[in-house]
Amino acid sequence: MNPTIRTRSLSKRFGSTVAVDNVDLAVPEGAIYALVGANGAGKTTLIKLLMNILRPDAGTAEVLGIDSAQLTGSAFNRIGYVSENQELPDGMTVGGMLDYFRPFYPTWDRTLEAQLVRQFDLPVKRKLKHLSRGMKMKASFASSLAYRPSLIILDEPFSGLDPLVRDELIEGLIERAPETTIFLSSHDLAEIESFSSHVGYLQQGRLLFSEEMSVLNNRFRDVTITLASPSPLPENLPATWLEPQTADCVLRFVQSDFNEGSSPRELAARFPSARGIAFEPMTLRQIFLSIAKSGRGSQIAAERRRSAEEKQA
Amino acid sequence: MNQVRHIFSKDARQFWGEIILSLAITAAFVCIGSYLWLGEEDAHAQMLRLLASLLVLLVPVGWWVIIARAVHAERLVGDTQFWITRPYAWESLLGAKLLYLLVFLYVPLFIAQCLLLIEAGFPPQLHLAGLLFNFLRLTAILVLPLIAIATVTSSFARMTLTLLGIFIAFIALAAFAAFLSNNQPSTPSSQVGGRICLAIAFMGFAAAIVLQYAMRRVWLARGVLLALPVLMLATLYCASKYDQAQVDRNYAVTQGAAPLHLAYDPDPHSTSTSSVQGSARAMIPVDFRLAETGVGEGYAAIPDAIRARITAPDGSHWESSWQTMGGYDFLPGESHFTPSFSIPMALYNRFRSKPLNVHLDFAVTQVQAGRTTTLALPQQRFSVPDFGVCSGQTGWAQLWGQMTGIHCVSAVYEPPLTYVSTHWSDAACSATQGGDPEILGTAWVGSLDHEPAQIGISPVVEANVMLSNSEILNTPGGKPRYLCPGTPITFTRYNAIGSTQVSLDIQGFTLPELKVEGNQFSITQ
Repeated sequence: MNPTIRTRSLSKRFGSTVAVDNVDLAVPEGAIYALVGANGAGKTTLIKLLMNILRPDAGTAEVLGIDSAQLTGSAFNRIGYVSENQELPDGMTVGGMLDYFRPFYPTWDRTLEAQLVRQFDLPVKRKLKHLSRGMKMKASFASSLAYRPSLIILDEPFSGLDPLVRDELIEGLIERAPETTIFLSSHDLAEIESFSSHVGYLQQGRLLFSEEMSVLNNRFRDVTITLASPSPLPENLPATWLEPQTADCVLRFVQSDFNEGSSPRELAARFPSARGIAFEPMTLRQIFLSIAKSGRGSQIAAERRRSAEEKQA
Repeated sequence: MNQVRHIFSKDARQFWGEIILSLAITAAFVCIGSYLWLGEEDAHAQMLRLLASLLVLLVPVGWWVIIARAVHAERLVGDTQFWITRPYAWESLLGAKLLYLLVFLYVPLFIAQCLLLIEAGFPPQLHLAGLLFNFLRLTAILVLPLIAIATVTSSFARMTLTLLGIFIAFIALAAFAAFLSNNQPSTPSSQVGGRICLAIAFMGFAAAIVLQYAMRRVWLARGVLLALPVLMLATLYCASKYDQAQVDRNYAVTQGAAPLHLAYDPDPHSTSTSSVQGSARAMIPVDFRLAETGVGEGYAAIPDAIRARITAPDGSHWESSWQTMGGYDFLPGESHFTPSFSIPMALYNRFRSKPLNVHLDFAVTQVQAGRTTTLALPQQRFSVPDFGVCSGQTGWAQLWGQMTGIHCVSAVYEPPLTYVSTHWSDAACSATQGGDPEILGTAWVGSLDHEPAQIGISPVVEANVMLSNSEILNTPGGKPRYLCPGTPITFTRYNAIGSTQVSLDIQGFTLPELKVEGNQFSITQ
């Protein structure tokens, strides 16, 4: 099955700043893909490259099988795009905007439109310029979901919204999930953790990894080893052990290649005098913090790539 | 769905205020535009003429507003616009904007121009080609630049600042050019440079617009727009060189009879003084009085340009380029006139106070009388075939009911070259009194150019009929003469039949005296 989004060595610079650096990405059909990273990591630039809002300096991107550079006109019939920075036709009312957009989309579903207006409690007679930020975002969502797009691309859609609006939007989004692929960017890990199926991590323009959420959750563990006596940090620790530290008799690190079958055995063999080894699952936030702090993202990415290539071979 | 219609409808609904404002300006112009060419001079008419002149400026301002608003509704600069990730086809978007301009700019203007032509006494259907040519020029010079600037700016405020910047740059360039060309003589220019510039402007602005709509390459489009004035200036420079060469080709020296004879006819009792801005680049005007004879009956001769070759006793010499020489039209009979050419300051210093041999070449167009229309001067507005529509011109309050001249207008372009002649009356006209056959009033009106139209918001062009002998000389304050109703007035159209060069040699000519007075050069000759 062809991925809905695929990029190959995609790069974009702004002067001397590398915003997107050699990104290879594949978003499978039906996925809810969360692109995460700190502010300024290059998420918005990557999305703008995908949407043909910006032109890449190198590499290519395909969206729904179309070269992103050719993404114009009717190609947007199947794509819904919502961005925190996106302008709306402010002089129109909410209803006027929906009326205006409707004829552009052959697949526009008036029943769904009415449902979304009700669900988001949109004031159809009010001008967009008089709406709050949350209401504007909901209006934008409604106008981008009503035609049942095959792909929904969201750039920081929940940024700065109150929890109630955020939940409403996420609910509306999840209802569409069975019939579409969703690609969203966020720097708020907690908000996307609950519903994303895939996750990619962008740091300084580089995609450190991109994989299924369940695989990511499974391979990261917060490991605590209780040693028999206090000892310094062992040398030559594997690169996949992030943030290793010792305190008295306790050695702690984040294992980024945890395997439920082999990892406990291997660690027990490596620390035969250990009085206890505990493996704690990690939240997405904890995982990314440990990656960011360790600064070993690139190494992890390289190892993951190497491992994937070995599997393919 | 027809996207063009859909986007157009949205714009029409969204910008109805701006559209009504623009249409109101155009409608107001139709209502009082005729005061621009009516010869009435009472205070009320003067005020309305002033207002109509203001509306001539406001009509394009109205266009600027509706163009900016429509283009910026789906602005092309930036990356956060709502429409760029919607299924807009750029051709449809551009088509919708053009349809908007057609409906709210061109159609109202067309109707307004037709109504103004009717008001002036011209059937619009006879001038459709001229109207369309005028639209083409307005499009290239005004509408396309406004659209192009709107496509490379992100808001009305930025567009306004950009236009202001262009205006200031234009003023600075004009001032700089004026500084450089201190008293430079004008040179003959054909319409070649202008037409090429028009084509360049049309294509350049259109290219920038299409580039923006098709690709949203802002800096590329801005580059195209910045390159346009440079390209046009280069074109005008090259065209001026071409025009110089064309004078020799178009006014070829012929062996047959000259259309007129010239003789040097100095008047030792007459002196004149003129002054120019003092600088090393100043051009010094050199006047000389000539007698002209030899124009055949039914013909006239028009000297268009002059070229001088000066030779000093030591053999050094200088030859000018062709310099424009307007304002003379010679009919049969003898007349005297004082043409001039300009010489650069450095050369003036080299040749001053020396007896010079001056060889003058005149580029002369010979014209032949054609259709003649003679009519008894009516009191009401009257139409002159192949010329235009005229009416009696009344003076100030004390002259109510008396004609002190005639005022004519033509449709879309100035009338063809026409010689107007009639007779004045020294006394106010009564029911029985007509013009005095001894007091001739004549005027040359129009031109030999054959352009389909001249650019303008108003399609009605004023033709200045400055009849000679309009005042009784030697009376304090200059007492006017009158044109009496019923006096025969004749309009004779002249057609060009050939162009040639007429030469004259002047021996022992000395250049005029020059004095430096402050930062001025005073020239006495």
